[in-house]
Amino acid sequence: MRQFFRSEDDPDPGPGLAAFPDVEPVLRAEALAKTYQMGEVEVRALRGVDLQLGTGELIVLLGASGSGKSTLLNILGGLDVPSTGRLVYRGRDLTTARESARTAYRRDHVGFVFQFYNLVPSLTARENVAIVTDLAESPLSPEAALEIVGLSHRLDHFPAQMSGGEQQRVAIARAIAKRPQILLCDEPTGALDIATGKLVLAAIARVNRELGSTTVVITHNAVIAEMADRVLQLADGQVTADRRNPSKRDPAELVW
Amino acid sequence: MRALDRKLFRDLARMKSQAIAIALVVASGVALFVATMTTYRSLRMSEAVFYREQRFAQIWSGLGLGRAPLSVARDIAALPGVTAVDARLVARAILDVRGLDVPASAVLVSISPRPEHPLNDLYIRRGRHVEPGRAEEVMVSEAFAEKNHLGPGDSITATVAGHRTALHIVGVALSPEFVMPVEPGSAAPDDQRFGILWIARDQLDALLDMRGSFNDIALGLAPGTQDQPVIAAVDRILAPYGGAGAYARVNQASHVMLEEHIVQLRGLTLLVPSIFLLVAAFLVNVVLARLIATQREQIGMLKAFGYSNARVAIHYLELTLVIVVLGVVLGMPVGAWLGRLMAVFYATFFRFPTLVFELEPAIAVGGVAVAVIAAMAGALGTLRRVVAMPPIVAMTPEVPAFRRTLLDRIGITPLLSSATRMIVRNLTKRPLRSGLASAGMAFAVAVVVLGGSSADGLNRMRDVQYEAIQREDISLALDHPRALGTARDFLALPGVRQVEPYRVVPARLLGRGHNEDIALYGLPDGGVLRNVVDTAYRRVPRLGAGVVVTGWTARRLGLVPGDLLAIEIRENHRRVVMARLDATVEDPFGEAGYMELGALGRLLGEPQTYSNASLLIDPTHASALYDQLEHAPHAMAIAIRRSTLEAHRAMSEAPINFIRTIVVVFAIIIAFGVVYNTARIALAERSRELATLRVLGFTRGEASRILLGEIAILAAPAIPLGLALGYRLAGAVAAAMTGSRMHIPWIVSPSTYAFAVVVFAASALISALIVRRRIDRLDLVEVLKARE
Repeated sequence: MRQFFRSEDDPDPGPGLAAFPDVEPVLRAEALAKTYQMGEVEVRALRGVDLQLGTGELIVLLGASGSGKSTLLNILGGLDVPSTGRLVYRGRDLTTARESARTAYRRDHVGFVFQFYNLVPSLTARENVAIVTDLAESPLSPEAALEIVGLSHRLDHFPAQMSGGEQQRVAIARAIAKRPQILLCDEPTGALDIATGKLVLAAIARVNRELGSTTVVITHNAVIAEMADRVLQLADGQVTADRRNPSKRDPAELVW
Repeated sequence: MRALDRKLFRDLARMKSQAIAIALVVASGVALFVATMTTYRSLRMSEAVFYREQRFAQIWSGLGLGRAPLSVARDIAALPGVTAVDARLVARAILDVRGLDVPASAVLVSISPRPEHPLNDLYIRRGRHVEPGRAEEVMVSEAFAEKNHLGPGDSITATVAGHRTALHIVGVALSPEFVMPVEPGSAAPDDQRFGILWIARDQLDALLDMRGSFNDIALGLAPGTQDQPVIAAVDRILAPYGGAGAYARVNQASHVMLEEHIVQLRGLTLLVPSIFLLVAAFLVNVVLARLIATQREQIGMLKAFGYSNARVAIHYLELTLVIVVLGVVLGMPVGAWLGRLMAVFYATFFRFPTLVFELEPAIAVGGVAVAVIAAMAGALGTLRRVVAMPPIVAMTPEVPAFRRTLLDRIGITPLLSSATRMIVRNLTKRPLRSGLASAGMAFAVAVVVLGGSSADGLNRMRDVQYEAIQREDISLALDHPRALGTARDFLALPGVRQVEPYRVVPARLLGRGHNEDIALYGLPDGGVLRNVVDTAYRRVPRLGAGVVVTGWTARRLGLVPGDLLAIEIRENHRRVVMARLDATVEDPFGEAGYMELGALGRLLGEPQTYSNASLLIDPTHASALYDQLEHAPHAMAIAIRRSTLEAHRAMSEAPINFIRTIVVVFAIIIAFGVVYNTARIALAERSRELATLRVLGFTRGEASRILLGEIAILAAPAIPLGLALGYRLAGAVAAAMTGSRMHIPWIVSPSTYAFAVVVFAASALISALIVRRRIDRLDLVEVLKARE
């Protein structure tokens, strides 16, 4: 698949991101600001965010709707670029990186989990995970990734044949199968009931623990913050609080 | 404007490029319909006006080599139903035209002075009518005058019945009898080398020494008069004078040629536009189906708020109609313009005084009607689904439910890459739609094949006629049949290397309830300069004792090889002889019968005679030979194969290039319409999926390839399918265009196939690249926010 997909318009990023030495922190944001032009109105989604994400940290990013947390996540994941400020991944400046370099960053280092799963409906659970493992250097096998999220019995089911929680766990398996440095989860339980949501959070916690991926979960649900190493509070485009949990709780113990 | 109407226009604005693509296909169909229809009507009306205003005759009879006294014409005029007769003289002439290095031929027709023209009045384009008593005045036919830059004041030298005479041109004229002048015995027009000369009766009397007699007669009939009794009576009256058999308009050479083309056009008016309207119907179907799939919730909401099923259906129908109206508005003027261009092309072959051309309201209404009907047909299934959607169902999103397919069960899918798996599952999920998309693309290929096949057919006809059937350099028609031994005399002329005599005699084949007038050829055994070809265009090596005719003629007469055939010989004394039908053969440009020369001579009771000669010449002596032939006392007409061949090639080149250009433009429109819409719909359905893949690290190229790979898989079978379909359509068009004289072969050349593939592949590629730009610009963040 890698062979099949490599094209001239997408030059190999070369000795880019992967070649940088493993230094702390993994990701560093400096004075990130993002302004959207919505017709006549200028929306300032981020107004100067400074942030450092350490290796293996499980971070919950809390914020009300409109606080700018999705914008921040999109920028951290290389889906969007800030209007001003800098984002540095292991010494490499992503703010000035070209589109193809950002694609390579996503491909090689970032795992995404979305609120609405975004599985490919024409592929089975196993095949949805394989989409990512086909691209990665030394991935988990799709079966191993699905085993981590507890879906070994659903390998050959299509998304339409699975529940929402199962679909979200396939999405997590897909995100972690490449052993990403960074796992970004945007409201992963937003579309799920409590019981299913806990299963999904447990899967995220397990991945963070076992693979050591720096994990960011954004949510408006403050209870979820209890499972984090570190909690960031975002309001009106700025980080208003940054605290460490003295002890983090198992997702199974969470109640909301 | 009501809210629902506002929604209609906003929806249209959002899907504008798809709407335009459909409108263009509709416009193509409408344009072709209007163009072929107006050209057809233009020829019909121009013909009718010309025939009426110039009083085109209804019955003709020649007297071959004989003559009849003018008193006989009065007997014919007295026949019931006959309103007018023109008893005239017609002769062949060889012309020496200044500036033309080969001899030309003409038919000389005597014309009575104005204003007492009862029939076949001339339309004087330039100069004036000939006047009696003024020596050596002629009018020339327009095409011949144009090609040779002749006009009033110029002179030409003619050899008529062995007399060489200078003729002064006083006018350039058109006649309803010679709308497309073709030399008798020739397969195709050669306007440079053949013309009609009209000369005052008293002048031709003197040249032919036929004062007080006539050798050709034209009759006008009262409205409602039956042809057949008059024809029989004329035949009876003229029989003692060598009457070659009377015939009605349906057998008049110029009229036949004109009708052939008009019938060909009528065949095209329905067939070709319907291809486009079929594709338009398909596009309306898929695009509308996609639109209502994305608007399920809106439909549910409208119904929940009390809009009736009919109102909601009408809303989507209106959307379709706006696209159709756009197509009609674009197509109508283009059709009128194309029609005018086509009519102008026809006007270079068919000489009418005025080309009547108008976009008749009925044609415009017809164009609108076919477009609307096609779109309705495309919209119908979708509208039914809109009506059937209950509000509750409509408001829940449609989940694409994939299941394991046959490919999964037989274990093929694990061997495929994820991308290929996605493509295969998407295509097999909607097999009908995938099949229709391929079929739509196949039509684009087929249209190019169809456009090229007309040129291929025409080229093949020309090759068969001038490479296989006629191999001589020059063919001569003699004034009278002569003894076979004299043929060798031609070898004494400068540059003549080989001579082959042959005999041509006008004949009527008498079948069961049906007769066919043909030229019956007697070809020498072992001859190579005039040949007969079979239906596969292979040379028939030997003619037997019987007769061979074209398969078409045999079918019309209800005869099969082995049957006895009655042949009425229509030269000198008419008589009926019997011959066996040996085989059927091919004759692309006309109706002819063939026999062995000796057998024909015995049948005619004139053994060892010939009337024509084929010559092979040394081109370095050509001009000396032409000089001699122009003075030759027994030569009545000269045909030069190369000249006719070149004239035919020159004549057909412009229309062929024109048709090819039009067809390529329209094929591109179809290819674009289908490929672009298919890709846009696939993109709409899968933008979320593709955006997800981009987020997961797929590059733009990788993501595009999933969608474009799907299009490529749909396009791949479209090519062989389209080539096969094009071949079939070419056959249908060839059949629709084949009249009684011209047999358009059903042929598609390899270069036409190759051209079709190139045109389609290029336009499909470009359409796909336009969609690729959209994939590149997918807003990843926006797409992920949206719920299914």
